[in-house]
Amino acid sequence: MKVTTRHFGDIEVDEKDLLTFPQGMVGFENHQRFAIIRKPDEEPFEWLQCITLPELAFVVVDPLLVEAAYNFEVDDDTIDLLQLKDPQDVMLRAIVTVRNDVSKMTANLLAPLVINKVEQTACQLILNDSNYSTRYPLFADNAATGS
Amino acid sequence: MLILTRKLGETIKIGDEISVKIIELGRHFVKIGIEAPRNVKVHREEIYDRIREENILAGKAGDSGLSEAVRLFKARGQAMKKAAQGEPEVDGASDGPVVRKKN
Repeated sequence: MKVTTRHFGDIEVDEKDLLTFPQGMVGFENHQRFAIIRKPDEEPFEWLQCITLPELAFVVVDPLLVEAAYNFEVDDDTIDLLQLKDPQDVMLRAIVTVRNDVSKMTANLLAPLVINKVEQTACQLILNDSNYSTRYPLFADNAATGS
Repeated sequence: MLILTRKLGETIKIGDEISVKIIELGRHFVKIGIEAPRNVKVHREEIYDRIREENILAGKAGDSGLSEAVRLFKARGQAMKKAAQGEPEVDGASDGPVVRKKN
């Protein structure tokens, strides 16, 4: 499928990289179709490109690469919404806020993206009872040493 | 804004499907129980607003800095791999979210 992207112009996206967010994302509830775009030289980061709004694109990353002890429980409503049948089908992503100063780049661990790889459904889950931050530093050790 | 007075244990109905019950009263807080249909999302306002703002910021950000982040990530990964060599594997390390399978 041809997708108009913010950073890469019009590109061809494999059907298996398309995701449906039945509830959209917080602040973008009306946009439900996204494509995951991977560029080998940008690993481990990926782009989540909105299909209906080309200027909307998020950088995402596996939150376990950011915080190895990251953990939360997926509630029944979300399991139903995403038609999740097996925990193995889950893929997690955190939205990264890209900044010019790389030491200030953060990942949103309070509202992760929960993706059902099989059904290609996804949602942004708000962890109501967690202490994770919307601005978790990607390079904490870096920021601390100021290097 | 509609303002109602309620006592501990009393409930407010909003439409047919939503009820809001006063569960506990503290000196500086109120604990509230909310029952609502699944399509009605219930969130603490300040948390919802924070996530919304962050999404808008993240969704419009450019990609400058990303290549440097990629480099740092790789450097860190290599450092971690080095550190892991000779160290026993930690048991019970996190493996992501708990997904409860429905019965």
